[in-house]
Amino acid sequence: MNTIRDAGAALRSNKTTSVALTRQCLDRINRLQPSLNAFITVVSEAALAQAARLDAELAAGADRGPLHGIPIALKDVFETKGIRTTCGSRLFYDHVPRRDAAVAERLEAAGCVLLGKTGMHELAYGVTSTNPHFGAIRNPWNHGHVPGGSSGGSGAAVAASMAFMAMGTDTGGSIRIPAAFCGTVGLKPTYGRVSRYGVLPLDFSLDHMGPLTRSVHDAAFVLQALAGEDPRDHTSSHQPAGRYSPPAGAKLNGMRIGIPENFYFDRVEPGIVSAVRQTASEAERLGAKLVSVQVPDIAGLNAIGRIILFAEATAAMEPFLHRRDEIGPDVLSLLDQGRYILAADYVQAQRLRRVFQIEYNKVFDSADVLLTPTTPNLAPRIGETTVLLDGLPEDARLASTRFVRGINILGLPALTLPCGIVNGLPASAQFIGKAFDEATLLRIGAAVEDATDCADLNPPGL
Amino acid sequence: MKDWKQIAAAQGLVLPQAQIESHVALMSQLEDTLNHLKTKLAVDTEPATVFQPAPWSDGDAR
Repeated sequence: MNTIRDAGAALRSNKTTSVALTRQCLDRINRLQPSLNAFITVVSEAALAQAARLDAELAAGADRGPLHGIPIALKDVFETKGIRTTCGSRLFYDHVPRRDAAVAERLEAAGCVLLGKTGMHELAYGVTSTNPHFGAIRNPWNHGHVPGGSSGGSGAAVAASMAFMAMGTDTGGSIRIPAAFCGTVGLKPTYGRVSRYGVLPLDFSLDHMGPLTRSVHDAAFVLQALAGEDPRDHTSSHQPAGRYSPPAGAKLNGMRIGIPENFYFDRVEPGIVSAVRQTASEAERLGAKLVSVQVPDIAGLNAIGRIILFAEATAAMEPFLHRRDEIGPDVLSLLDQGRYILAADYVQAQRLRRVFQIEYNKVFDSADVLLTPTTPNLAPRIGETTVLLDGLPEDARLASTRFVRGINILGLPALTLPCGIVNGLPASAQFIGKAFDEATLLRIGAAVEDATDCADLNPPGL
Repeated sequence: MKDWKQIAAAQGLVLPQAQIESHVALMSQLEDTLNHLKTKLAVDTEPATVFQPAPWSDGDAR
């Protein structure tokens, strides 16, 4: 029983309790933490006490909804009142917040049980989660490989069933990359859909919050709990939340799935191409129409994204830049690079961002969603800085972010789901949707998931 | 082309030469791309800051 949907059904038919589910997760954490290092903090006693309260509520007939009694984890970048929140950094090693992030508040109100805080790439600024202060997080599919990042602990925890869901943040792919490398579902909602309040910022205009889960249906449950305006985050959208839960076993008649002819299938691991094309065929079999589309200059979009990322991250971290010896070398180098960006170039990048938003939105005239690989590469080995694609070496960080970074710049929603195993590691497909149309992404993803066994991937030996 | 080494010095970045060279290579590459893309900009193109409605939002004023 790995999914929220199954656990919820078992809770409501009195086949299990929240305390039992919580104990099950804590047992797995105790067993697997030494090898995976997925957590920075575990709050066992508080979790069991919360689970007992939620069991009593349910027994008394008070049901908070699909997340009632479900054990979950938060990336250690979400502030949690009274629980240390390190951001994977020595700079925040002893930071115990006095407030909860909006995401933590809403998940608690929805009935979740917080198991603890997951490990991450230092300051959420990287894609390996090989953390110099808290140790390398390991991929449950192969402990010699990275889980991806920056939400690597969340990916590892969900893939290894240490939690039914873990929250991540995504500035340039940091939900979708660990979801891809660990074989889980990952959802990056539209910018402004989920409040950023109480999350230590990396990049003000690029940071997104979203869940990593074992199924698309579960991701929909979580988004339903999180979506909505928050006056404490001035970038939170006024647009009302949708109804996200997709029907089971749905058909896709009338849906148009755009398959990009350019960029997204260039220099990709062949096994990933095959798995994504198989996903497209499955969607077609369910009634969707596949249409070829041309996308704008994504390499150019990624370049302006890096200019924005460098400038904003360095601005966000400026108060700490004098503490150089407390920052790991890879993150420090990125923060130094932000100091080269001139104000005029940052503004030009933001102006080009608008041009790209308008151009990319035109693609949706002919397609409801786009389907692409999530990453061109499988999870690299720990310490591997280049990957080989089409016989050519490519920087592992740039390769891993090649298909995901641009979507943060556009602010569009994207859903990733596992679509196969290649050389013993998960391959992943990415659906990209129109702004605030998460419901369509989730409907298509759930239909594909229900028709295949992609939600049943379990790492070997787990 | 900007003199990235001078910018590094003006920013007070005291780094090993190899690291400066790697930064210069990256910044030069980004500068080339940005210069090419800037030719697309109409004079009245506004920045897509988070303080404005995004192009898709159709009046979702923030």
